[in-house]
Amino acid sequence: MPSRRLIDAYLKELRAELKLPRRTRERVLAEVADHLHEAAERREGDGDEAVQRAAIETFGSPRLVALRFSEELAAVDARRGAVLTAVATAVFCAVVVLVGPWRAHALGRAFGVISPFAAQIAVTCAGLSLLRAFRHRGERAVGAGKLRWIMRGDAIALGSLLLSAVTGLAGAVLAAHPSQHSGVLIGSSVAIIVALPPLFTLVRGQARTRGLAGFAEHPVPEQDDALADVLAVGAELRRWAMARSALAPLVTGLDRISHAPAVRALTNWLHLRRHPWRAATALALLAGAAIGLGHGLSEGGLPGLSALPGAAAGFGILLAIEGAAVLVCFAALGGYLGIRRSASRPQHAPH
Amino acid sequence: MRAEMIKGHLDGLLLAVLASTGPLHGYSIIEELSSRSGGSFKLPEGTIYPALHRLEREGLLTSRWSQAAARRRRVYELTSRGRRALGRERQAWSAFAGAAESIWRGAVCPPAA
Repeated sequence: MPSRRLIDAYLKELRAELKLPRRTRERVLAEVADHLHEAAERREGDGDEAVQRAAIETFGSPRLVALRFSEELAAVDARRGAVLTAVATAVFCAVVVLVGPWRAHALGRAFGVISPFAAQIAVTCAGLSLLRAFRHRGERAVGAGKLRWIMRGDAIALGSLLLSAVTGLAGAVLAAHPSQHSGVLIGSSVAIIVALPPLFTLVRGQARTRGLAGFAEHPVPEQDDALADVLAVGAELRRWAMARSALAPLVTGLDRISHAPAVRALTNWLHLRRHPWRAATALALLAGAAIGLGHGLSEGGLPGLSALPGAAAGFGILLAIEGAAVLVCFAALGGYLGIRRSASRPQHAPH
Repeated sequence: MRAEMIKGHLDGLLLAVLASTGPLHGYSIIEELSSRSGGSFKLPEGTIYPALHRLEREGLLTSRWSQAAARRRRVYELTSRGRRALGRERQAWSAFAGAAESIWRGAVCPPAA
């Protein structure tokens, strides 16, 4: 039996580098062992260290092979995580809507304040991750930068909904009569349970990619921000709708509206990439107005003339709070999630 | 040929090799790729395994262990879904190559050094 010292050492190193489930890792190592032994045999002189070294060199370094596996599996994890996070977010939003304002305990009041904001953050982040996962669903090698954005979106969505759900659960448990708050108790518990699978997927994906220098150094692609994702998915949906005779007239009508000079001027003025803060301010005002109007209508419909000043003041306060929250989130998370381009990168690619 | 150039088309090339030869193990697939390209396709051999595993996960390939010369080896085979995918890959490649060729045709290039 010839000595295969170098091949054995290579396999040992590869075993340490591979971040795969045990069964898959053993299968990969068996395949690689077969490959290297055959390559050495074909080069004649199986025991010769020179031919073993040549076989290993043409195979690629353990780090490179492990990196390719990690990239592939990280993409799978990121897509799966985005779908699971979206499901968890939907469940959490249903809990918030069904439970509504809740005041039985100090933590219950905290839940009442935190949960509407947590729901909005979770919906935005989970929605963006799902959009990105959908856009890149058929691609073989999703860029590492994009995977990081998807994972970050999932992490923020899960973090905000878990913080809120745990607060609700603790508030219900610590209330004087917990049985009277079974809605919050059950709803928060369900939200926490549904958040566990995406959390597990996220942690596993992070563990797979951590420590691989190539993954960490992978640059975020130029011109590939949230706007690019929205436009790409929009174009895909447009093609899909145009291929269906029932939807084609609708698309044509929307095209006509989007090409109207006034609409074009407005979309240019609010262009997320060129004027990120202007676009964010417009969104903040819209969200604030929607919350203010929604709250006013749910509290008793349109106010009479005498109640108008009070209703207007309430509307203004809600608009200011919601608008400020949107702008703070945009400032804190916009660059981190690839919604607005970082100031450290050039605004336009050099021509 | 640079490894990055092959990487983008690796899936189609792997499916094409398996479609024409029948079941093969990793080493033989590499050999086929190399011999059919006249030795032009040189890429780190280990990088085909992540691609083979992914194609199997997507249902385009199936694999099984086989015993050969006192060694266990994993043999890959194209599925019917893989054949359909190969057709689409070929179509996409033809469209890309045709478009690229029409651009190259119009370019004035100095002779290679």
